[in-house]
Amino acid sequence: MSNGLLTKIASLFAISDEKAMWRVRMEDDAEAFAQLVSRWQPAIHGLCTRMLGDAHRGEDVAQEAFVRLYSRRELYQPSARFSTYLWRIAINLCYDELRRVKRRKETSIYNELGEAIIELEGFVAHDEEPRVVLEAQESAEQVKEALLQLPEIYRTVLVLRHYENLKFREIAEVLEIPEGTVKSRMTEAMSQLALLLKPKLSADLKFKTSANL
Amino acid sequence: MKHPAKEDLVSLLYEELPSDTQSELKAHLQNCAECQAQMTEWQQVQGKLRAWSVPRPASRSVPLPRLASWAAAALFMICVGFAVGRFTGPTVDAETIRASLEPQLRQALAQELNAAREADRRQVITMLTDIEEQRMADYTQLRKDLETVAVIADEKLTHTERVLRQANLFAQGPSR
Repeated sequence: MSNGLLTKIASLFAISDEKAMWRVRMEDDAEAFAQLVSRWQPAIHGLCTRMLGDAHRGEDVAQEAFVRLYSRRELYQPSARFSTYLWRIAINLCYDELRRVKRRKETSIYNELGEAIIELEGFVAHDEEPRVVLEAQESAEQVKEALLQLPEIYRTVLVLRHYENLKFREIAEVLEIPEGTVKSRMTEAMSQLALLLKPKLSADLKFKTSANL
Repeated sequence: MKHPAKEDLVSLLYEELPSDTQSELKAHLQNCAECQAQMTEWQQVQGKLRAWSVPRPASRSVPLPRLASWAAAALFMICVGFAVGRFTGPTVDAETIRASLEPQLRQALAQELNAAREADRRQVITMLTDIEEQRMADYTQLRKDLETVAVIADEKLTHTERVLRQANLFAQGPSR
């Protein structure tokens, strides 16, 4: 009897995503929604930031994804995996944002200033040597620029596989394409990145070789 | 030599192949410089990709330590209630205890969420107020600067006019 009681108490605090979303849909359960946001915000924020190459926009779009999740809660089907549903919402919003940015060709000085401040804060927040931090930031910037040069369909697959650690089969479900297509896009993404990052890769190899002399 | 499809190589790179296929591919890589070079290149790309880490945003939901403390408090109250009921009055079933505690827990969680939302809202309002104040200060300064320029320009024009009048008088010469 006590085991059953403890299980019931535990179920109050750790329900599955699907059950939580069901409660959101059927009962407008705010606590269940808060749990979903808490669990998924970091991953969705990471996806949006890497797809858009911009931390501010990434955060905005990630928040928009949860707003949309809530506002369209009646559309959620319990047979679908919650994660697949949420990834799809976030990716579609990223695509919308990329199209919007392309149309406006927006380069607000506040965006550039905001990003510069974030980079500066990142610089001073570290305890490591400034030179090490600067090199790390340069590497990150090169990777970001290279990713932004990839076509969106390749970038999506790469971000989901490499950074968010989804399996190819899961990515296929999210994007509603065959698994073989996912792997082909990933192959193409990796090959294009190898070319885009080539000068940096070669420079690293030369540095390591000369350091060993 | 028959090379594996690149899609299989990328599956191997991300460890998504069944173990028998994986062994076959690894055996091929040991004997094929071309495929090994491809794998090495992609492994370097993987290494580079790790350079870009995205800091996780500050969570806006109820912080876990608070939730944990509420959970611990709820568990303690349930255990106390259970023990008291067991040794004193008639037995009370678990459902009744849960039902009686649930509204209080829900209310407490809702209050925490509202407090967090209110704090966020106040922070946004403060930021917007600061931006507006800065904008007004910039506008006021700009207006002052423009007025100064206008005054200086006016003085210069008046001076120039005076000089021109004097030059004109000299040019006409003294009248007899």
